[in-house]
Amino acid sequence: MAEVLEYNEDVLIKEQGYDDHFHDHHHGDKFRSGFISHYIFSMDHKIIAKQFLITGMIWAIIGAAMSIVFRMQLGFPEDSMTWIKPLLGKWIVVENGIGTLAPEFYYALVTMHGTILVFFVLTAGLSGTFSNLLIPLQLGARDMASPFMNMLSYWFFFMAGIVMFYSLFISTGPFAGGWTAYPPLSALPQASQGSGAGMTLWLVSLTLFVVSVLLGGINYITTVLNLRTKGMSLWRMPLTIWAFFVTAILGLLSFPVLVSGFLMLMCDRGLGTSFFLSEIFVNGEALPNVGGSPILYQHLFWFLGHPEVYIIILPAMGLVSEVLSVHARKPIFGYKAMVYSILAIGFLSFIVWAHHMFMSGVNPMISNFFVVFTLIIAVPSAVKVFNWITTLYGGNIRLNTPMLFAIGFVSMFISGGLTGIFLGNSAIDIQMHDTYFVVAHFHIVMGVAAFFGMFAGIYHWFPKMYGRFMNETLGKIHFWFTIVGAYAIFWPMHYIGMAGVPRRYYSFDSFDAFNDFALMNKFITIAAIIVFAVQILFVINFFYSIWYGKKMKTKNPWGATTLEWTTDIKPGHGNWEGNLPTVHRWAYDYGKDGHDFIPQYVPAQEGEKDVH
Amino acid sequence: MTFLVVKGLVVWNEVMADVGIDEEVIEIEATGYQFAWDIRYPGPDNRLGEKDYTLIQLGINPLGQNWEDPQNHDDFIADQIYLPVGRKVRVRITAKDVLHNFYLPHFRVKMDAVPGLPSYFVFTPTVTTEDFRARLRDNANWQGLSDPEDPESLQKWEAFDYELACAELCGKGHYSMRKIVKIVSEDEYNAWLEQQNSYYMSQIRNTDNDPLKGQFLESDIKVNEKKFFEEFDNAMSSADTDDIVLPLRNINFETGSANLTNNSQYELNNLVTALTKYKDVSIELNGHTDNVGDSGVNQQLSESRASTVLNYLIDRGVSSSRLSSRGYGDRMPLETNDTEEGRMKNKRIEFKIFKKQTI
Amino acid sequence: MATDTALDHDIEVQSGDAWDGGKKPFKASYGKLMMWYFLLSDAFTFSGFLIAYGALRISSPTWPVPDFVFQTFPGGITGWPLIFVTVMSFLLIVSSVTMVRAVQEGARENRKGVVFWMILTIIGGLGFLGCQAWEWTNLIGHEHMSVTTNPFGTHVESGVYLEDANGDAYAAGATKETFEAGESYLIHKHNGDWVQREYQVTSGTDEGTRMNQEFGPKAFGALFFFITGFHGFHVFSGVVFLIIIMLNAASGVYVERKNGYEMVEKIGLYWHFVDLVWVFVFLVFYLL
Ligand code: HEM
Ligand SMILES: [Cu+2]
Ligand SMILES: [Cu+2]
Repeated sequence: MAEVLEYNEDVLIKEQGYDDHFHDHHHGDKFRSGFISHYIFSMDHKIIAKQFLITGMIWAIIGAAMSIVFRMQLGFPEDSMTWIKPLLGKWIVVENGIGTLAPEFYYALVTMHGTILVFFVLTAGLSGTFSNLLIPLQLGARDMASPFMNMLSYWFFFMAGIVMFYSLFISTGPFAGGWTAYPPLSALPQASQGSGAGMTLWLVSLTLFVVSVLLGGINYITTVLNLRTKGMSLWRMPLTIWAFFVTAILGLLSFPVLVSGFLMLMCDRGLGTSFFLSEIFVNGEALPNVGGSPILYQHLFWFLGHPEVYIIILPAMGLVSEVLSVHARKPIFGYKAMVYSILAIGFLSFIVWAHHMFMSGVNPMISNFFVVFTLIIAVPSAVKVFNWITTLYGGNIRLNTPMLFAIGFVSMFISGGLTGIFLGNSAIDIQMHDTYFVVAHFHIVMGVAAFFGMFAGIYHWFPKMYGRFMNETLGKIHFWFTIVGAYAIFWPMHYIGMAGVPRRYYSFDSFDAFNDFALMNKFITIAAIIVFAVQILFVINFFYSIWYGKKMKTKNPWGATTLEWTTDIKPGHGNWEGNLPTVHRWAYDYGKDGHDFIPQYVPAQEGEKDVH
Repeated sequence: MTFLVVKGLVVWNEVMADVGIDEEVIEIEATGYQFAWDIRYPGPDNRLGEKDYTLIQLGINPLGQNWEDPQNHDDFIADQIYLPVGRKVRVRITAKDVLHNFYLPHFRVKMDAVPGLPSYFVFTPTVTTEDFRARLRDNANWQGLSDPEDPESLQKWEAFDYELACAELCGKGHYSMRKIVKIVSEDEYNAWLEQQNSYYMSQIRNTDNDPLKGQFLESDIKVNEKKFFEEFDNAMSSADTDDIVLPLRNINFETGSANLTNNSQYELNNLVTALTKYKDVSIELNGHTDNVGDSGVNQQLSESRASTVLNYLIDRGVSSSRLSSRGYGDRMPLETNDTEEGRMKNKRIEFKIFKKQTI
Repeated sequence: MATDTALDHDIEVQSGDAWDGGKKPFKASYGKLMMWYFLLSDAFTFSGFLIAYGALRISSPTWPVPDFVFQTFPGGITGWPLIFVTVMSFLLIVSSVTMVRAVQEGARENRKGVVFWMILTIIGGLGFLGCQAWEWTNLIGHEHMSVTTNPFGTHVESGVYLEDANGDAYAAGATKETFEAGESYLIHKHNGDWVQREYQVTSGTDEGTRMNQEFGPKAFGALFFFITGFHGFHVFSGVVFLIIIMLNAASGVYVERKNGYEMVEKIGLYWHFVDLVWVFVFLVFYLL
């Protein structure tokens, strides 16, 4: 009965569509644009998405290159790094003809790597890109609720980037106290070079960044709630949108708390207040500050910090859900369960923050609650994993690059989630805290997994963005090297971590206990270099395909149900020429009643059952 | 899963529990700073003395110990962590400048050191360093020279030591905050304790950095008191019926005058107590000087000093009928007057117990 | 089989639920929603501060008594606890009421009414800012409180002063000032030097010991200036926006707009929020 459902898309949308009088009234004003306002100060969400993506990619390259430099130091401590002296100048210390990375700069690189990857790449580059691209397109909206704020959101991000970039070049170096910026180290220029001007710029940059996130987040939430096209009830939204929606809410509620911490930190640094400082003797001098609490900052930071990791992973989860379903030609398994899991994760992520602080000197009693909440998060996470796997099960799978990355995501998320369960147990965390085990955990579950989600998204929606496809062969090479390489990097780190080797060590020489892993460290470094090289391949593929990729001939190359594939191949500002499509069903009618797929705008058929 | 959570929490609460009030533990203190650890032991009194960060002076008072707190007087700073096997240890963890983390990788101990907010960790070492080395002897990974450059060096397993590290980023030297941890038998531990010198006594006592300079410590007073009564009781109980002369130690006068210094009260009070105990004893107080200066003046000084002491005793309620005083000037030196040391000994107050009268 | 025409429109029942899409949930425009979300996130920023306040206050052994700290009134009057701040709060609350009126007039498209009530609101806001400026000047200039120094200490035991307010020994026969545990004091400056008066404790375990007044917890000054400053900054921005919107309203910009006086509504939301935050600030600093 493999009857193909016939319908005429244009007619359907025109006749049944939802007339928002797009062309009739002044609403159209904001969609008219000249060149500069088209590509630079654009208010078109699709252009802004590309801006976020490309800026994010640039930052990803910078951040990853930094990691290669410090990995070289760790993997090959005896080998000279003089070759990079022309770039790093005084930060390479040459002794007996052998150049080594200065410890200060090692820590500066680690710090910058973390900050850049977490905030600029995996927050702005991921959620910024795809929320912008997909929220209006998949919801049937002309643009974001406020295109102007949307543009500001990008430019604040851009300025944040400029400030951070500038801090790399000042003479005292960028901030070097870890991406979490715990005071007193971050508050006292006497304690570390990077805590001087570098830290000031870091704070300014991240405050700008928060403004960007808030402008974006307010926009996303409002668009999701108010600008859905006719028929697009919340329960018909694709999981991508649910993920972006909850992500935006998390950002909206957690980043302000971080800002309050930042403002207090700025006062401690500049005005001599004692919010986070108490009884400090540094550099031969006793400071007058008393009564503050460094732990207070940690609470404020992790109240953001933990939701932040979900701000990073939720969009990836949304993208993966969508890609898996499209390329398995099956409805996503347990759609409602998926939505409830996202909501549960979003909610729980606010009450687990202190699992980062088991060993920070807070009352051990308090940790009991956080252990329980933390491990409860594993439940919705497990639900999601189960549903992804079930979606794949028996699917008519197309193993193309986006699909591979989506499956890779699931694999990574499982591995990282398991190690999370170890860490969440405070008793085990005594041994694991601040070791390479944690590094391996969060890189796999957040770093690599989120990147995989992002790659799946890029390969999948590239045709929507540029009207061309990315090269499949290069894509597959990219995937296989990356997944094997990522495990090669992070799997051994689990062992090193279990053996107790602490993270953020410039050198392990002075400790017998940590000095036994030279070989593994070399191996990891080599794997990292290879993975990095493969990412360059991806970047080449990306830019090559923008101009020379295979052209997209049909509007809906993947046979997807969602609305973004109903626009022109290269939609103009406003997305749909005429009426907005009206939605009649959920986004996951794949393989229903013998039809390969039924797009969302197709009304329910006579006698059709289970119209969601 | 539930089992794991519950089990985990039980273990957590056991591990993190603080010690009970009467529990017998060894309490030591670790202070992190850029970029090393200082380890402080409480000394014989088993109590760590007070600290105040404003008192910190590099090289002089590295931890900011308050020397006016007597509990500080026997505390010592060790260059290694030395602990007996099988005893519960409570580590008080503090930091001077930024966050650090007290990390003993072999003992599963890890806790942040926070300036202004002491934390703690309780643990019990179970294997001595020696036993651990013995276990490694047959382990393939621990063979070979510990220092490949030096053919004389120990085998790796012989050179094994437990270590203390820092596990919270604290600046550019974070990776280098190593200290050796030695777990030894109870006896070795006690022997080691014997060798340690109190920091206060060896470095601070009576230097310009000592706020108690020139004052007696409680411990000194106790020692002196004991000595005084030993001598006095001996004198009284000895069968010898001759008059006995005893020195009044630790009695000092301001230079060239007969005014007692503050420190003198302790010995004098001992004397008062003794005279109250032995109600029938009469004594004569004798003043002596060195030979510096005019001997007439010396004679006078010795007389007035002796009578100052006499008056002090009367003020404290000793009946004047039991007391008399006499000055000898420089006529009866104990030792040579040619050395400073000798002169110091010659300036003195003694008292003579009239035993015959008593009996 | 089915083509567009064959599809029955009516099978798809639009339930009319606000969450169905193509409609505005809450019947609110997206502009107003955005303001709500902004306020929500701003509320979290303030929560961050207030939680920090709570944490630092709880960990301080003492905390200055508000009735004592905030007892001055312009014109050199002291001993009027919390009167001045009540006036301030009253101004702000009244300005919220006038804001409500302005929004109502906006809904009626009454330009004059909007402008009139907005001007009153602006006056209220400026009045509040003026009061706050005076309060800060008084604390900084006269009482020498700063973000790093807090001269407001609190006694933990009862006692009697041995020196007068200038730090000189009492004249013979003068009655010595006494105090109870829990009373706050202000360390004055006399000829440029702090006067930490000496006193003798008359209660508790330390009875009989002589002590000097100590400075209060530093966090008090820092938190006070920081949080009221941050709130004041919100009021200030609010006044600026009120003025701009009032001018727009006066020049008739909103008459032509499709959504009419929605800007007035939005700034109204903001203004009420600022007012609400003040209630909390007032609560923690002045009442608790
Ligand atoms: C089953 C779920 C998870 C559990 C129980 C869990 C638990 C933990 C715990 C207890 C820590 C603190 C370890 C320590 O510092 O000692 C930690 C660290 C971390 N986790 Fe997870 N985690 C989970 C999933 C995730 C996910 C999904 C992400 C990101 C998307 C993530 C990102 C991170 C990051 C970034 C850190 C390290 C932060 C730092 O110290 O720099 N975790 N996790
Ligand atoms: Cu977390
Ligand atoms: Cu450290």
